[in-house]
Amino acid sequence: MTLLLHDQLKSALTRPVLEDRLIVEPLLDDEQVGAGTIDIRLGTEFLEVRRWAETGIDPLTLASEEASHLAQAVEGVFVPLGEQFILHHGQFVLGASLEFIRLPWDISGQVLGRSSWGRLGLTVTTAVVVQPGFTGVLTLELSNNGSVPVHLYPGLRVAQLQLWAGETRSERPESERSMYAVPLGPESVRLAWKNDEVERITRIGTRLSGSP
Amino acid sequence: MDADLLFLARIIDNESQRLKSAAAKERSGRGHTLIALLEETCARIASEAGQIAAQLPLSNSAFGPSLERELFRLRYELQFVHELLARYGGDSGRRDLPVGIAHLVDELVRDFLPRRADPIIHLTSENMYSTLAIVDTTPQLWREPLPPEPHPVAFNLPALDPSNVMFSPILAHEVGHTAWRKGLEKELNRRADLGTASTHLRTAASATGIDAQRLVEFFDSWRQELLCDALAAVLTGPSFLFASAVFLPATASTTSIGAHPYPRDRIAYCLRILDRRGWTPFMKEQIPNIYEWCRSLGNSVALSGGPIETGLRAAIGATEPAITEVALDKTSNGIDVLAFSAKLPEFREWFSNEVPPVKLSTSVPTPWEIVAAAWICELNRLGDTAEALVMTSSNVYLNRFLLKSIELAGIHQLWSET
Repeated sequence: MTLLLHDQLKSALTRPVLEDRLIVEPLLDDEQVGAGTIDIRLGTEFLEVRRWAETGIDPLTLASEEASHLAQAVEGVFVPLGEQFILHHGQFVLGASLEFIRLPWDISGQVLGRSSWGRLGLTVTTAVVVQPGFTGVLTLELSNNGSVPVHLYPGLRVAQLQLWAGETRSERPESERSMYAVPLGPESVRLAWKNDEVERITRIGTRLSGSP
Repeated sequence: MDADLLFLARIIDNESQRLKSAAAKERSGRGHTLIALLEETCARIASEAGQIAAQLPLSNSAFGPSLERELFRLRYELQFVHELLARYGGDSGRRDLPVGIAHLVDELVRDFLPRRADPIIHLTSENMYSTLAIVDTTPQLWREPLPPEPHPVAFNLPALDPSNVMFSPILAHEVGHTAWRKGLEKELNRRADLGTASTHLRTAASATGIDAQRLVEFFDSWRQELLCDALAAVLTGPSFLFASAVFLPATASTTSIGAHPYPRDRIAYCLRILDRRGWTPFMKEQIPNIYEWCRSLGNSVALSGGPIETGLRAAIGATEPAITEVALDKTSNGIDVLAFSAKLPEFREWFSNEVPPVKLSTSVPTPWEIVAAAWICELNRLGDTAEALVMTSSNVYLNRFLLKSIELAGIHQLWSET
């Protein structure tokens, strides 16, 4: 894997065939393409969990029904450019990149925070891996670890995308999704664990406790 | 008597203060002008009630009934304030709708109501897609001089499907109604051959014994509808034809006289407008079956054959050239067939790759170009059939995708202009 630097990033962004091109749209300023990363701006959509609506999140019971319940407990907030979203001390919300991103099948990436925000106490992301072929906007995990509220303005650069090129292309996995069913805003529940694994862990727990 | 009236004046003062403070919570963003108007109105009502209360100890008892009437008028006005605040207060500066919707609405305001409207996006199940100039609909509430424009205009979007971009050309038609009330009616009256239209209406009235004024009302309503159709067709191109075909629906074969012309007549007129704008060869090439289907619907209007219908049609026929000219003159940002045709291959490439067409090689696309390209590309993909029109209009994923495309293209445009 090779880290893409400025010239390779520019080259990936201008590949002649759209299908093979790295897409970051809108790229409002050429300077977003840095020495080894592309700056990502804050988008206009946020998801807040309504605290009063949830007793807690249990990953072992967060299977289909629970997940849909949690999805209903989040509230979308849309903030146009020029307006602000205030993130209070200790508050966690999901945001999204302003840019619509598509990685070619030979490129993978990682979303990183920017130190200037980190020094204000704002965590923007948890170094999310972006798989080859990803299409959509990136979900950002925004958390205010500082002691004062932070004013967030859509359009500001809040994260950076580091990209790596492989020597071979990833195989396109079979996809059952409908056309255009790509992430267009922050996504709240995308489980990293599988239901059968959850059931296995639960069964092991039952055996160990000696319950029937 | 004085004590009773004083009691009433105190109630009015109290209610106006409460409504004013309720309004004060919601005065930022789109729709803020309504909140400002309501606050001013509450203050004015409180002031008038105070003046009446001050007069009471001095007034002759003979003035009691008139003062009582004044107080009840103020109370009645407060009810209107309450209704408007309850209906639209939460819409001011709302943040629960995708930014792309605001971009679309702002675009329509720029196209048809420049600097005249402060849009309030209101979700409702009644009169969906209609627009309402609030100052015009509740004249009893306001006092001259009104604050300078923009004034609040409600955009009523479907509560359960506000993001249906494929139907946005219908919203363009509805904004035309507000533009009609804000000057287009006068413009049409200046240009239209109203003498000939009037002769047709009088002949129909005398043949049937119907009140001529009633016929004039139908005529006014029909020509207004057709002008709004023309505005939307010039602005959005064939998207309006496709959206209308599903929304009306085009297959309806009513022969009863109502506030709207027959759907098939409207489809036929829309085709004439599109032809005037040079779209016919494009439609014959891209969607030949749908074009022929629309044309055959327009050619098979069921007629009652009665003198009212005949007279109305003749009157409208005499006015149609002026309607078309007004629409063409008043829509400066209408989608251009040649420019659009040149961009279509690029749109097709972006859509087939499921990437929002935020910037094309030559320009940032307008919302109406994005919507038209989506209609054409989807109809090409699904098949050139009437059923594909329905499937395209109701595709939730596509509508969300387009809304994001419109948002991002709008941001790109604003960024480069600022």
